Order: sequence, then structure tokens, then C-alpha cells
Amino acid sequence: MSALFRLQRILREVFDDPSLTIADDFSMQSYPDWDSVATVHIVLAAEEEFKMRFTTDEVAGIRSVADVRRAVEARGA
Amino acid sequence: MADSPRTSPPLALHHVGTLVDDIEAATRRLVGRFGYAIESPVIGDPAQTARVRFLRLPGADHWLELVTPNGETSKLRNALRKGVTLHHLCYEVADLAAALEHLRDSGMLVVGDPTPAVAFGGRRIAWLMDRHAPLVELLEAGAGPFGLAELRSRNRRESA
Repeated sequence: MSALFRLQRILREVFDDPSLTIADDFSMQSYPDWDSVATVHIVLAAEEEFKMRFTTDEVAGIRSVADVRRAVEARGA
Repeated sequence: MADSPRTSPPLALHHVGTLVDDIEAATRRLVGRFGYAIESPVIGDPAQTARVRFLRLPGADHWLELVTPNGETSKLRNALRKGVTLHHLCYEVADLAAALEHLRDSGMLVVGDPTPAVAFGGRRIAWLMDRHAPLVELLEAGAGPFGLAELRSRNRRESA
């Protein structure tokens, strides 16, 4: 299962939208419901899903799905 | 990662942060209705994009912090719009790094590096979040305004 697919599952849950479809350019800018609180939820869910831990700098730099995917894939997911 | 069985470093409740849209009106209400005493002027904290004021019930061992956005672009505006009132709980800790590590291990997320806080004379604060409201603020213990050790001494003197 690809990292993007697993992230999509996470974002669907965070935004309570079972039909949400994401791509790398899905971002805070393109999706107004994605605020800093949503970022926290996404990060914590991703840490659980991928059994990894984000650094503080990575969390601060998250603006899009691409940012999350990069951090996840850097750990070999 | 979650629910670590490790013992938490000692945390002492320092203040409850409540979000208000009008700091003067909230002060008047809390002083008049509940008997809070005003413990500080309104303090501007650009790093937090906030203006704050500390109140305290006579004899209480912690403060109430009124927090309001410092302008239209404040990061607190969104929370205020969403109707958030109980904004954060702040704990004073002797060892900030150890407390952060413990809470991170227990499943909380550290939001940014520890930064000096204007309201506390430059003592560092750090913010943490998890999936449950409210936010958690950690404040390192030490000399400076609004220290719990000084507050305890003050309470002892006043009750003697």
C-alpha cells in the first residue's frame, strides 16, 4: 500500500470526509479546513500509522501532503 | 509511543489560559463577579501574537491568564472565531527538556522550539498539542515574574 494511499486514509478521517481524494499538491492553501490543529492531527495519526516520529522542524514546515509524504518516505515507508 | 508508563517529571499548574475577545470587559466581569484580583497590566507578546493579563483569586496557587489576539492577523483569531474559550493549561516545570521529552514520548506533539516569554521575564515556554483540547504550555521554573515559588511564599505571608 503506497504512502499516499495511507495518507489519504488519514486525511479522510481528520477532515471527516470519506470521499476526499488527495495528491501531493493538496495543501493548507488549497483546502481551507486544513489549519494548524489539523496539522497536529495529521502528524500524530501519521506517526502512529508509519511507526515513526517527525522532528519539530518537519512539523513546522508542513504545508501540504507532499511535505508529509517526504518526511514519511525519508524513513523508508 | 502513546501512554508511556514512564513517570512524569513533576508538573505544577501555573495558569489556565482563557481566550477572550475583549480583555478589559473580561477583566471587569471576572473581578466583579468572582472577586479575581488583577495581577498584571496587559502585556503584549508579539511572539505569541497575543496580549495577555494575569488575574488570581485571593489565596489561589495559580493564575488565570486572559489571552486576546493582538490584531486581525493573530494566529489566535481562528480559535476565537471557532468559539474556543478554554485555550490552554500551563504547567511550571523544573526541567523543561525532561518534561518535553516525557510528554513527546507519551504521544503529544511539541509545537516549535522553546522560546523566551515576555510575560515571564524571559523564562522559556514551550507548547504541546495532542488530539484532545486544550493546548498545553510548559514554563520553566526560575527567577522572574510569576514564579510559583514566589507565589507560594506570598500566600504563606498573607495567610500568617
